[in-house]
Amino acid sequence: VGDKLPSVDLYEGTPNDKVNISSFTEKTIIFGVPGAFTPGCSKTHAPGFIANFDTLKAKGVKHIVCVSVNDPFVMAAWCENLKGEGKVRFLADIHTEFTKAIGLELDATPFLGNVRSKRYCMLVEDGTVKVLSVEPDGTGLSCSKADDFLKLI
Amino acid sequence: MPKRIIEPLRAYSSKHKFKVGDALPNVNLYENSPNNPVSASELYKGKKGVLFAVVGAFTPGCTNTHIPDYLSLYDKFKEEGYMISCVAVNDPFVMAAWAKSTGAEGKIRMLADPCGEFTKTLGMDIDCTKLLGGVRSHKYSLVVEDSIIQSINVDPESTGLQCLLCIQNMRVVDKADVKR
Repeated sequence: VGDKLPSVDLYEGTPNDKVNISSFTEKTIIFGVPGAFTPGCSKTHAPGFIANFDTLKAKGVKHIVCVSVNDPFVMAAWCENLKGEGKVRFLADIHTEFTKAIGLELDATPFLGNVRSKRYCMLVEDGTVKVLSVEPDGTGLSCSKADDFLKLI
Repeated sequence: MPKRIIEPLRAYSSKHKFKVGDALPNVNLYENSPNNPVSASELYKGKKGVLFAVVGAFTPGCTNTHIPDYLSLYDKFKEEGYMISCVAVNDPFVMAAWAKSTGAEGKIRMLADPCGEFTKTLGMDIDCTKLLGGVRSHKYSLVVEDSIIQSINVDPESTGLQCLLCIQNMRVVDKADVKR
């Protein structure tokens, strides 16, 4: 908390569509997940943010971003699957660059084949991290869910 | 083995670490979840069919052409008694979701090679780090019978239709052998 977001490119939709994470200068929620289409991420974590879209907007949140170490095609398909278009931006951290820059890598090699992201949620304002909740075990669903995070902002 | 079946071999380069007559390696692939391993050497034991590999679940080419190609031939493959499976270097949850999304569920066994182990064992890995984040698989297809590779088709040639022609050609050869 208190750190500035690193200037890292994430990808939206295809490997050619870059979005720099530091371009989100207004009040933004960024939540990280271990994997697109994995049970916890798909059934609870991501849908929670999509469902709470209006509540979060009412609190002044301008953007909701989901980051995962997946390729952009998988992220786009996941967004469509969860009906998140227009509510949550699903950005691919293809090379784990952003995740490593914020020190939240999770070695999921035995289950998913490579290094992924821990589960977390952060509130960023003017490019600075104001609130950060990281799941203690990296994958649980205790403090980073939308309804829990709402209480912190 | 009759010479006619050996023709497709010329389509691939020496990087590939397998040939017709080899058995599928004893490497685990995963179906639906990381807790559901399937050994590649057991997959086609006592069975015959086609195993094809794609670069990535949900990538445009694989999704819009490759899978639909195989699905459109599903009934013909079933008629021949062939089991179809698809391998990609993706995690098992992504593969399962792709199976549902493409309608392949129940028709094509979608198998995940999360660490690329199967793919690397066959020497069919390509470095897609820049675009997709890691090592992926070449596109290829194998006709397999009782775990033994009968024929190999690599890259541009490996569409579902090519593979079916190959199987039908083999049947003609078999019948010709029987006549002798």
